[in-house]
Amino acid sequence: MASVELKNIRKTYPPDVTALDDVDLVIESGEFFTLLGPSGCGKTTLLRTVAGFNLQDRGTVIVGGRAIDNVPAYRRDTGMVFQDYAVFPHMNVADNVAFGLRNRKVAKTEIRRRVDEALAMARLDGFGERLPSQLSGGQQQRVGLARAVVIRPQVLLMDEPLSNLDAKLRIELREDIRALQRALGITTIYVTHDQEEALVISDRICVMEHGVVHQVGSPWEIYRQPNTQFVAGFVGAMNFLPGRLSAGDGEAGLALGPQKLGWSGANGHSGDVLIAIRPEDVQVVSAGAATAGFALDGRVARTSFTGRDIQYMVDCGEGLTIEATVTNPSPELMSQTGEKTQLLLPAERLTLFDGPSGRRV
Amino acid sequence: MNGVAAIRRRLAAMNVWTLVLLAALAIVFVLLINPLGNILAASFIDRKDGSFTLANYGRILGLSFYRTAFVNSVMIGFGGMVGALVLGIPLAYLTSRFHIKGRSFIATLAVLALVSPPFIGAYSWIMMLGANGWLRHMLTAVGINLPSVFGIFGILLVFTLKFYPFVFLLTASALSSVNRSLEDAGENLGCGPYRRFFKITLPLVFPAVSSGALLAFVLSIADFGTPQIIGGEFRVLSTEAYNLFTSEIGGNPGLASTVSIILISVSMVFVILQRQAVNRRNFAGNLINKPEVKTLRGGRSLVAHVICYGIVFASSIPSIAVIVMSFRKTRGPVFHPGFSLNSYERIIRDVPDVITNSFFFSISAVAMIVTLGTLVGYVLARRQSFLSGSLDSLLMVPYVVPGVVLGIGFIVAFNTGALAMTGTGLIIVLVIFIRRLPYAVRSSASILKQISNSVEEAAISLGASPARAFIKITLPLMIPGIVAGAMMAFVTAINELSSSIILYVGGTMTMPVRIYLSVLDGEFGTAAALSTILLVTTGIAVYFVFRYSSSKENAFV
Repeated sequence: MASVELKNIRKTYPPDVTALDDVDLVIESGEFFTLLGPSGCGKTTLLRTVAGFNLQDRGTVIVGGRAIDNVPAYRRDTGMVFQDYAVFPHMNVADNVAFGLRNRKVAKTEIRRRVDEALAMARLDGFGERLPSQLSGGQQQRVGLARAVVIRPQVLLMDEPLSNLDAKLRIELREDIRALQRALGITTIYVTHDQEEALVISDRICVMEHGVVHQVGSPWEIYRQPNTQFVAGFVGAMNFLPGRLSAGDGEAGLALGPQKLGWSGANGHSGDVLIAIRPEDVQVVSAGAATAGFALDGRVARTSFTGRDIQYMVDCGEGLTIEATVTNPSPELMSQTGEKTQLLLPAERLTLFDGPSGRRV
Repeated sequence: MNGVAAIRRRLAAMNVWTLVLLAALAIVFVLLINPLGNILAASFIDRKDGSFTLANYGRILGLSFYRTAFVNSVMIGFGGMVGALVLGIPLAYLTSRFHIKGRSFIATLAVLALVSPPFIGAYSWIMMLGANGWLRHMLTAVGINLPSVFGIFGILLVFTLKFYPFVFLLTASALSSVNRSLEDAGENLGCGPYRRFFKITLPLVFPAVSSGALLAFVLSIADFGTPQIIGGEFRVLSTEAYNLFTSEIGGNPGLASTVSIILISVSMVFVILQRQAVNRRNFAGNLINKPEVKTLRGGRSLVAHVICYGIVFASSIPSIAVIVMSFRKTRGPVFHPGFSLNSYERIIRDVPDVITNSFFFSISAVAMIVTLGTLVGYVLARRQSFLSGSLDSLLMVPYVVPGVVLGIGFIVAFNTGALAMTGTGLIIVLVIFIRRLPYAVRSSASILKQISNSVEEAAISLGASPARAFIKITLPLMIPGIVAGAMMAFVTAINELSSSIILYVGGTMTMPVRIYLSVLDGEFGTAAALSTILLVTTGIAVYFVFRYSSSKENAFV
């Protein structure tokens, strides 16, 4: 197993696309590291740079302490799992899995042993003789996975491996990938645009946009302590409300419309800010509550029932619509459209972002 | 990263594919740019003192004789195109949107009409509709008096029945992949069936229709055999270029070159116009709903079937007539009642070398085409760069250069000097090679588009070198397409007339050339027997294309 260091990786596509803008990352040995971002954010480009399919304009890729920039893709010790499986259609499952071992001139008996072992790990026992066309999409991706791990690569690279599968299968294979990675302790870089998948599967997540790294952190940090407005909005749902920080005499104050709260975490900042709060942190209350926070009156504009919870869209006037999630709803909460309600935004659940820069205050 | 390391990395990225690219560029330069450059130069150079002159162009434009040939060429180009559209679009619509019994049989007959050489069609129609033709007698008996088959009527008859399959095959495949929701939306918004076809469906398949139309146009003005055999006094640019170049008294390479350049220019103009028209109508979409194939009932069904089978049988008649004729009894050049193998005995006795030449030249050319075509197709599809882009553009050139013109260019370029090879079999092989290379390149590149790039990347990430990944993974997946492409190249190679007619000498005569000369000499029995051999060989090759190609009849366009 090996750590991966990416130093100042830059990749541009002339004339004017910057796919990777000086990306600097360190991935620990044995870590499950996810690159998360919307399409076009550079996550796949970065993964393919580690694989050797893209040549960066500048910067260095270091795997296990060794710079591999001049090593061609086929000599880099990486196993890759592809979005469209890329299972060789003219070879049976066993030959697919054995392909990398044959390239490495592994002895025949050893190949057989390791192929069987890999097929078992990927829950494909007994599928060795099948052709890819006889397999379902999920099974084909298991072949892709077995084929990539059987060579015991220094790094496992996965490019949206689940995005072509249906929802149930996605969750099933997701668990298997995570278990396999833990069992083998293999350093893994995983690319996805699905934030829930990233949160569930990763040790650490790197959120990217326009070739720039916004934040690297544990799933908890990414969700609970987003560094930028982009991360806050991209991972999970988030309400953004216009607010204003003013440096008072002693304590700073945070204003939302006419309401004002004492605010201790201003760090000397003042001016326009965005107040962010997750829908599940917004409390729907019938009477005034004791918790410190902003209290807003509004009218229920729309409710949507997802089964697990109810999502309220509450119109608070002045163009302000706030989403609130109520878990374990009681039946009478279902039909409140048009009714008056009161929302409480607890102070300890608010996160502030600097208006112009989008950075957390 | 410093400069030296960057260069080292650049060099490491260079590999066998860069060499393939450079070799292909060299070959294209020697065999395509060089001959065409020679023609271009010859058209601007005074033959007496070697100075620059526009006199050749002045003479061509000045003489009403050539002006007429120019107008005639454009006329048969449009005529062939319109004919192909009139037959091709209804056939495509009926077979792709309604249940027509024997659809694949119809497609097969259309493909056979497409691949059989046009000069055989021309000569067969003369046999049927000439002054003494059996079909003319039959039609006269029922009161139909057709104009003389010699001249523009015959030419357009041949071109229409020869080139409609381009429009048919391209349009049918486009019609089958129009998103049904678009047509449903049109109907939902109040379009009746006819209005819907002209306002929604036809514009959506315009790129395919216009590609077919362009092929019909370019091939019509490039064809040499048809106007030469059936044209009579009707002169066109391709026959004029040939006559100017080969006429024994006063052969004039300068004027022939000038006519050639004009011919290429006309084709180029239409290629560019079509591309611009298509560029503005690029409707790439995701196919969610396939169009519905409807069942017709009663009289409508009967009419649809009569139209479809009528078109494909009309285009098959010439081939059938030739085959029947080849088994007629002959004495000398004259047909007698009854059947025999006289004609075959004659060709085996008199011209066996013509048959062996044809096969030897074609197989040699195909071997070269397939080898280089596969490799270059790979480079163009998978290693895009400035150089590969240039090669891609250069490979468009043979599409617009008529065979007669390239033949003349080869004579001019390879008559003397280090590469002198006129009069050899090699020059015939090479001209076929360079004319058909682009088709093989294109088919190889299009096969690769169906093979996901990640399959090869998977092999590389598993430790296979790029060369090994190609041989172990990509090549095996390409094989069916390559076999189909090879058979296609073989069909066009063995039926090649227009360049061989310029380049052949006594010892390197091929079957199409012999057929052409036999028709001129009135040796119809010999011509029929040789044509039958060509048609049967072509049919066998087509069978293999059908067997190996996933897209069946669409492998032909």
